[in-house]
Amino acid sequence: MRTPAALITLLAAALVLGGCQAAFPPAAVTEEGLLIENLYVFVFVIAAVVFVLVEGLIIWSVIRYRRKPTDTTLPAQTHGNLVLEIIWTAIPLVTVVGLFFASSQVLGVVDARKPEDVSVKVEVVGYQWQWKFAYPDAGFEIYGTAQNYPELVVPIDERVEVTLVAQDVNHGFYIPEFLFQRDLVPGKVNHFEFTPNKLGTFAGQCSAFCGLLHHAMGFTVRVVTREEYDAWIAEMTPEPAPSESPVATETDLTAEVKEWAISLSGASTAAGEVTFGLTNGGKIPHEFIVVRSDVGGEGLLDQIDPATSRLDEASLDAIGEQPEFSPGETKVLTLDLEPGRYVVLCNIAGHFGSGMYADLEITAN
Amino acid sequence: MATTAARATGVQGSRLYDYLTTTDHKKIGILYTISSFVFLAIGGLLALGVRTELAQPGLQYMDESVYNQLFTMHASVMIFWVIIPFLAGIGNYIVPLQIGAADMAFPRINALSFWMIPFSGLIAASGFFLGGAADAGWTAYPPLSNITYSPGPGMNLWIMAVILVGTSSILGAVNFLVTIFRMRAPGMTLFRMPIMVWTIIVTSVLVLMGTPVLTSALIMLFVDRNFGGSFFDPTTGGSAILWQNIFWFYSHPAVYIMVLPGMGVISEIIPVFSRKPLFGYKAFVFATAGIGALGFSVWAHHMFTTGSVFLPFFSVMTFLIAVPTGVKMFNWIATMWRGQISFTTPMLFAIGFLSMFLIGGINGVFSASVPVDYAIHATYWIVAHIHYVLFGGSFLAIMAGIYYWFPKMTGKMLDEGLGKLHFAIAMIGLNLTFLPMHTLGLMGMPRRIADYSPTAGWNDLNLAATVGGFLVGISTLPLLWNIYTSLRNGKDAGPDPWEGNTLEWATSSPPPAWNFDRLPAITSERPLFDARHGRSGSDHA
Repeated sequence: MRTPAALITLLAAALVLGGCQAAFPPAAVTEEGLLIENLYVFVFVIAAVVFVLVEGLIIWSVIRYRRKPTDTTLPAQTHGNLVLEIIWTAIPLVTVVGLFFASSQVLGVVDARKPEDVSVKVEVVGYQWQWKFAYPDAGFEIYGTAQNYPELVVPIDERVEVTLVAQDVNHGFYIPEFLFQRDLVPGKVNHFEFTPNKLGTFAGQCSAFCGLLHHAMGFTVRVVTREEYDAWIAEMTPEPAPSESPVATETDLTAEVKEWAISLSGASTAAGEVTFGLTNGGKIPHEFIVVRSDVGGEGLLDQIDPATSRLDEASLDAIGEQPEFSPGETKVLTLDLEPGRYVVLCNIAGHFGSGMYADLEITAN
Repeated sequence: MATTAARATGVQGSRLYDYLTTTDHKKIGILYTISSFVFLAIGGLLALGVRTELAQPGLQYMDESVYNQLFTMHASVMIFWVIIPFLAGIGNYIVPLQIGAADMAFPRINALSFWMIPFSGLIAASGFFLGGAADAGWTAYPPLSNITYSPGPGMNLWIMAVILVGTSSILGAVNFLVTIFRMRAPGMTLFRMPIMVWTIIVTSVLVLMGTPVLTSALIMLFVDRNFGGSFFDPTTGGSAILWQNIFWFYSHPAVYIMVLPGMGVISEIIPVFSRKPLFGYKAFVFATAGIGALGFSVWAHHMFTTGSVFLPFFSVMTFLIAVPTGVKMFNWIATMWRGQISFTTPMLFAIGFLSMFLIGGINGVFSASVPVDYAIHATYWIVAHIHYVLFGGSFLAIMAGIYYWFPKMTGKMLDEGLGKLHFAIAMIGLNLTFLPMHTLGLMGMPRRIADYSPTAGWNDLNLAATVGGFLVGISTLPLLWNIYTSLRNGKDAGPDPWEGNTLEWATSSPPPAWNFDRLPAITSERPLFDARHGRSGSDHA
C-alpha cells in the first residue's frame, strides 16, 4: 500500500477510536469486566481496520471505475485470480483464529470458578417480574418490587459468587458496567463469580424477555468497603425469633395471600374492630390492602392503570394495609370497619390483575 | 358486443381467476411478491408501532401487553411472511428462466406452496382480533410460551401458522432442487449455472435439513401447551434449554436461508452493471456451500449466556463462518475493479448491500467472541446486528432484485429518478435507525423492553432511531408510486434492457407461458454475453 493511503487509513482508525465514545462499552467496574472491556477494544480495532479497508475499497471502486462516455469497448474480462483468492481467504482465516484464541484466554478467567477464593455468596432468584437477593450465610433475603428495586450489596476487591435460579420463566441477570450477563434458566442452577474493583452503585436489569413487565425487572448493585459491608450485614440480619409465636392473637378472619389469589376464611364478619390473621403462602412477597368499594373486586379490575398494571391508590378508599411481607411470614392487621362492602387485595404491579383479591362484606351488629 | 363477450367468458376469463388458479411459475412468483409487499406493510407498521412507543421514555401509546404483541409479530411477519417469501418469489420467477426450463418441476405443488403463505399469515395475524396475538417473542422460549405463562390463543395460532410456512418452504425446496437438477437446458452444466441458481440450491438444502427440525419443535410445543406434554417444561421433567437448541438449529441456518439468495441476486447484478464476469465464480460456489455447511454448526452462539453450551466449539465455528463471507465480499469488489460501473437503481441497491452487509458481518464477529457476547447479548447491539444483516443485507438485495427483474416481469421499466429517491431515503433511514442501536446496546439497553428510565441516558438515541424508522417507512412510498405509474406509463423494456448475461434476458418481457421460443447456445455462465460479444469476449483464466 502506498504511504498516503496507509496514513489515511490510520488516521480514520484513530478518529473512530479517539473521537467516538459511542462505540465503546462503559468503563468496567469488576476485574473480569475489565478483561472483557480490553478484549472488546482489541476486537473493535481489528473490526475498524477491516471496515475502513473494505468500505474504502468499495467506495474507491465505485468512484474510480464508474462508466464514462469514452468507455465504448468492454473492460478486460477477468474471471479470477487464484493467488489473490487464496490470499483473501487466508487473511480472514488467520484474523478470526487469532480473535478466537484471544477470546478463549479471557473466557478462561471470566468463567473461572475458585470456591476457595470466594468470600461472599449471594443467591439471586428471578421471578415474574422482580428479583430476590438472598445472603444465605447471614440468613436474610431482599425482595424487590417494580416501584422499589432491590439492591445487591458487595464488598470491594473480594470475590463474590452468584448463584442464579429462575422460579418461573427465563430471566437474564445483566449489569452493563460489569460487561456481563448470565441467564437464569428454569430447571437449572447457574453460577458466576466476580471481583468488584470500583466503589459505587450500578444499575442492572433483566435481559431475557420474560413477559408482561420484563422492563420493570430492575435492580442495583452497590459496591462498598468491607467495613460498610459488615455494618450493612449486621443491620439486615434479622433478630432471633421470639420464643412465643406472634400469631397467638385471636383473629376474626384469616387470609392466605399467594400467587395469584387471596383466600379469606369467611366472606363476611360483623362491624367494629376486625382482626385479620395474614399468611403469605406464596413464593414472593405480597401486600394486603383493605379497600371500601361498592363495585367489588371484579368491578375494580376495570380500573387498573395499564401503564403501571396497578390500581391508582389515590383513587381508592383504602381503610388500612399490611405492607409487603415475605413468603412464609405471618402478620396481624387490626382495623375498625363500618358496615358495607369491601375488597381485600394485593396492589403490587400485576398482582391484582392476576387475581389477588377477595370480596368482604361487613355486616351491621 | 365486446361487453357481452366479456360477460360470456365470465369469472373464468378474468385476470383475477387466472391468478387464483395459475400453476405458471412466473405468475406464482408475482403472487409471492405481491403477498410479500402486503405483509411488508403489516410488518412495517408493527415496527413503527414499536419505534413510536420507544421514541421517549414512559408508556404513551400502548400497554406492555400490546407492545409485546407488536415486537413478536413484527419479527415473525418480517421473517416468515416477508423476507423468505420475497426470495422464494424471486427464485420462483427467475430460476426456471435462468436454467432455460419451461416451468418448475411440480407446478401444482408450487401453487400449493404459495397459497399456504397468505393463509398462514392470516392465521398468525388473526390473533390480534381473537384476544391477543403471540407475545412471547418470535423465539417463543418456553416456559414463557407454555400455557401457564401465555394462556391466550395467539401462541397456538402462531405455532400453527409457522408450521404451515415451514411446510410451504419444504415443498418449495424439493420443487427447486428437482427443477434445477432435472430440467436444465442442454449445455447448462452445473458450473455454467448462474450464481443465483447455486444459492437457491444451497438454500433449499438448508430448508430441507433445518425446517423439519423446527416443525417437530413446534409440534412438541403445541403438545405441551394443549395436551399436557412436558417436552420443554422443567417442572414436569422437560427441558427449557432443549427448545433453545432445536429452535436455533433451524433459526440460525434460517438467517442464511434469508441471506444466501440475496447474495445470489447481488451476484447477478454486479457483473451486469460492471460489464465484467463475476470474479472467482467457483470460489463463489464453494463459499456458498461452505456457508451452508458451517451454518449448521453455529446455532448455540445464540445461547452463550445460558451456561449450557460447549463454548469453544460454537465460538470457533462462528468465527470461521466469517471467512467464506469475506471471500465473497472481496470477489464482489474484484468484480467491480477495473469495470465500467453504471449506477442504475438495481446497482445502487447492490452497492448498498455491500456496504451495509459489511457492517452486519463485522458486528456479528463481536458476538462470536464469547466474553464480548456476555456484554452485548440480548441488548440493542444484537437488534442492530440482525437488522444490518436482514435489512442491510437481505432486504436491500430483494429491492435490488425487484428493480432488476421488474422489467422482465412486467415488460415495463421502472422510473430511475424515483428509484434513486427510494434508495437515498432508505439508506439514510436505515443507518439513522440502526447505527445508534449499537451504542444503546453498549450502554445497557436490553432488547424487548416496552419502557426505559428517563434517566438512563437513552432518550436521544431512541428518538433518532424512531425518526430513522419513519424515514424507512416513507422510503417505500416512491417505490409504490413508481410501480403504479410505471405499470401504466412506463417505458417498454424490450427483452434485454440491461444487457444481461443470463437466459431470462433471451426471451420477451414478460416471457410467454412456455418461457422460450428459442434458446441461445450455452457454453459458459454468460450465454447472452457470448451471443452479444462472441465467445472470444470471455477468455477463461
